[in-house]
Amino acid sequence: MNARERLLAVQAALEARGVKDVKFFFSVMSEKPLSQVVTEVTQALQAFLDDQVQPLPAFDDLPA
Amino acid sequence: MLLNTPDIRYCLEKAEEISEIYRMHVLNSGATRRSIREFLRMCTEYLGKKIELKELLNVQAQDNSIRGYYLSFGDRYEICLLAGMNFCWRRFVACKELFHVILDDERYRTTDIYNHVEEVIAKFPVAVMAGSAVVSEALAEIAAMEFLFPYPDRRRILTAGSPDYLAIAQRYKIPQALVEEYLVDSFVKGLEPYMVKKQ
Repeated sequence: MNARERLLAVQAALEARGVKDVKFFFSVMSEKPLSQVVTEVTQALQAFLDDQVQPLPAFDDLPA
Repeated sequence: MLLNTPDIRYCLEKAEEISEIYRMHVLNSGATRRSIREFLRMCTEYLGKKIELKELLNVQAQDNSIRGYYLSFGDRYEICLLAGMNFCWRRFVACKELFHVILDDERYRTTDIYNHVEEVIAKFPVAVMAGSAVVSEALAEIAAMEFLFPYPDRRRILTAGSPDYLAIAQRYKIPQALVEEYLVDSFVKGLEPYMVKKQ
């Protein structure tokens, strides 16, 4: 299975869970090939599907 | 789809709307550093959005192509940040993804992730070839920066000359890279026509 096929499988799994829209915060990517970017995106989304997440601690940034 | 005038106006109006709610409901709302904790509270309490903020356990942001993502389930949202970011980056990524919630619109939605990634890494300017999802990414970033580092502040800093980018980043608690990008003279001037009401 290549990078695109793996991403399509993740995409199908997200849709099966009811996802209607996906947006990303992209870093500056100078010379990375598309397949590497796709692999990294896939890994990050797979972590969500595998529940490899924790609640983000509340930001300690209340106005002083 | 192009990054057009109505899109920019819409996203800046939304950022102003959020700023107004912030000013009404947050103590010390005039402080330079705006609170993402309070922004999230506004989104849930005053706008009725169901949002969960999460952090990936084992996927690091360092050297990664992405720093976070947003998932819409139609009636609720999940925002996931990659691990290992500093305070300023976490604030900015969360803020930008929260603005996807604010700006959520049927025409920008996509689950065609491969095509979305392909569009983003294609090295053409947004105005030439971007699809709707890419336009949405740009608008959310502009709105997030307008909320965290408002245009009048940028204009004033630029007019004063010789900005100390690190000191500004520390005051506003936003990434220095974004400070420098949004203080590029041509960028600030380019947004001027959309800021008339705010002068």
